[in-house]
Amino acid sequence: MSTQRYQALASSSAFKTSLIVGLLVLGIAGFAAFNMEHEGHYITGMSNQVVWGIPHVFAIFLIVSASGALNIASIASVFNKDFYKPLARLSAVVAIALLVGGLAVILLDLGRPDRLLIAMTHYNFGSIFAWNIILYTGFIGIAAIYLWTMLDWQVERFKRLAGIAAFSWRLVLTAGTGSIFGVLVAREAYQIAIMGPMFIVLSLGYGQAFYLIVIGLFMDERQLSKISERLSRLMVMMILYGLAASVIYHLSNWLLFDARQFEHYLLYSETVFPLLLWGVHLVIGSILPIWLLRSGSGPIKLILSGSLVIIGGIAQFYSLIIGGQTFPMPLVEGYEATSSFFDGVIVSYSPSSWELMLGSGGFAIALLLIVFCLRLFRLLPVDR
Amino acid sequence: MRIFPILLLLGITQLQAAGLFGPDRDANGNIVPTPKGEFCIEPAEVMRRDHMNLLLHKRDQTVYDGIRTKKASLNECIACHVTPDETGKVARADEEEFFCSSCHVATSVSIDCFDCHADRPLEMIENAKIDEQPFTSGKPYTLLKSSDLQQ
Amino acid sequence: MSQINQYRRKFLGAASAAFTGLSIAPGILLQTVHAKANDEAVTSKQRWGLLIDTNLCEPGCTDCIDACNQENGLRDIHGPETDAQWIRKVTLKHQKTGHVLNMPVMCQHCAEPPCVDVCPTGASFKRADGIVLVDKHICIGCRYCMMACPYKARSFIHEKLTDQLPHAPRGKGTVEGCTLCVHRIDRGENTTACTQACPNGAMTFGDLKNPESEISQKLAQHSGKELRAKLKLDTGVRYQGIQG
Repeated sequence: MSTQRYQALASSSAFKTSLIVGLLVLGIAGFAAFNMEHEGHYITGMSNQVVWGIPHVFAIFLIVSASGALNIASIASVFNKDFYKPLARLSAVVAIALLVGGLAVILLDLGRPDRLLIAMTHYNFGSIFAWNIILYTGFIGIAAIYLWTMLDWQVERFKRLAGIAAFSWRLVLTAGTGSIFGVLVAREAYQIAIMGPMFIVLSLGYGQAFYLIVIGLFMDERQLSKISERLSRLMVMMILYGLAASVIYHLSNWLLFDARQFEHYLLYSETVFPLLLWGVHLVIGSILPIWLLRSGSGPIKLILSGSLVIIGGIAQFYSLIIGGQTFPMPLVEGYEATSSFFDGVIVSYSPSSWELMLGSGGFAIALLLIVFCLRLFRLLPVDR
Repeated sequence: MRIFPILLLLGITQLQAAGLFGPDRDANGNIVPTPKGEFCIEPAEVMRRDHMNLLLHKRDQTVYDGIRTKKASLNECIACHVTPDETGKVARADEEEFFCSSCHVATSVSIDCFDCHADRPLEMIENAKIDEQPFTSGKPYTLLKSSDLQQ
Repeated sequence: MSQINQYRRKFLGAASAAFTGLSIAPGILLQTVHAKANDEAVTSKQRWGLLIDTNLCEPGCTDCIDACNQENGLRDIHGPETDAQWIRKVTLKHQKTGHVLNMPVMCQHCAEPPCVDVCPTGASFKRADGIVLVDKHICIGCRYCMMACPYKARSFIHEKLTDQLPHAPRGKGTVEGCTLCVHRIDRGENTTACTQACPNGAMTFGDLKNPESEISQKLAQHSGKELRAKLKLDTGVRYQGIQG
């Protein structure tokens, strides 16, 4: 059995550029977060009707992607595919980085982020949100242990065990994230039976999209050329799975549940949502990257298609999270409502620049963590 | 002659009590507003050390059990300890002359009680209603009328 | 302590006078109300609720809302999108018959409140006497309760507040909603600001668990509907006059 060798990232121009861009965006995000906390949320586009805005869209997208990014490692260790084994280390790092980025955004968007300690010490165990806090922190721990078993030959014998634990944990985590919305019986947009499984399927594609961008940026071309074709094929499959999950979600809303009007609102109305779902999610975020990935490989194509999938995914999460809040809830069946509190009307939401700045901070944190780890640890495979 | 500085300090304190040097200060130079009542719920030593525990205990009793007795109620502390100075001015929570702030500034212990809780007794708030300072947003102080909102 | 006992004796004396159930005017019977003393912890022997007769709720009248804002110090700050509204006037029009309903909508004080289920820290809680409240000391401002509430009954404080009232602490970054005038109930008052303000007597406040109370009597006579009853939340606020 040949031993795979790894190397750390050299101080390349890609490393330096990522560092500068990451720190710059992080600084801007920090400024935005400070401003939002100092002034209060009125400076954002969020309101008493749309309580979770763009920061949550970014954060939840990052968290879902995090569990999907571990997929490459899971294929290697849990399903024992040799081809993916040299890629597993980086996969765990990307997963941890994305999760930390997403959690940071959620934390900084709280009304009282200074009460982090309270969030850690007061648990309502009936709350799916509280369970998710445990799932997220646990995931970071388990993924870190898994990474350790991959990096240190002395504990290598626990690698498979740690891999299985991380894989199971991440399935629960993603289902839990979906259930945050699933348990909201008040809103027609979210159904418990669909949200958990849908998030798991969606995570596969979005996590891998981030992974493709990372290897496109930092892996040397000779190594990349050996793996890019197979990874491209896998990515195409994941995009198709994700599309299937979306179709099931929208179809079940249309057919099985009492949410046909909501589907009409998302897919065929004079709002931004049809454009986001048909144009951005379907065409730009699914069909275009599939075409790109099938038309050949190379780092530019990997980075580009990964970015397109991410843009499409954000558009999808935007319509799910924002669309679900802007659509009116019925108060009395058969009656149309009007009030001073936006009953019975479609609420408008336009994200402020503060929110966009804060949200992009999550991506910056993830990027910075990834390049730090790449520079510190031997994560990138090399020939013997 | 160690006694001399203390005597000097006492002298200054006396002068301050006479209103010559602004607000009252204790031996450490902290501002001590005059309370309204004759005695506190516990001796000063106990209050200095334990006021936060008394408040916390009472807080949970009030929030969860609806127990609203006067003892250790924050509103009662305010009612007694927040008093106008000789010019009739009432110190606000963000000013050093405010009862809690005088020590909390000196000891660098920040509190967020008055982000939510009133820092003056009710009658002072209602008196101040007419010519109240505008909000930070620059909008004047008006009571919300639902008819003002868009239908 | 002696002061408190003295206070308590005075209060109980006054309360026992109310207990005897005497009538102050012909036709008006004072109910046997258990008024709570200040030092008494709330129990589940009571469940406080409201009954709203939509037939008596006048179109365009906002007296209950103005009273609530006055009582709790709610003010106009940055506009209706972000300002807190604990109670709002809703006009409903039946899509087929055109029947028009007017009603105030506030926290429905559910027996099975979704906001309490989802709150990560336990800041959203239901008191023993059925009032759903936010412990703002441990609220982190995640707004998940607002996502979960089927009645949009909660507001988030979007800016720094000043001049809050002593009995109604409120502040930036936390979530709040109708407290059912809990500070009055704790004083032993058997009413809320909105109930008191209604010129038509469309609102009735009372103990749903006491069959003798006015609210229970009215419910026994004409029943009352829950908003979004399908969700089976067993709301403490009921409505009369809704068709269908």
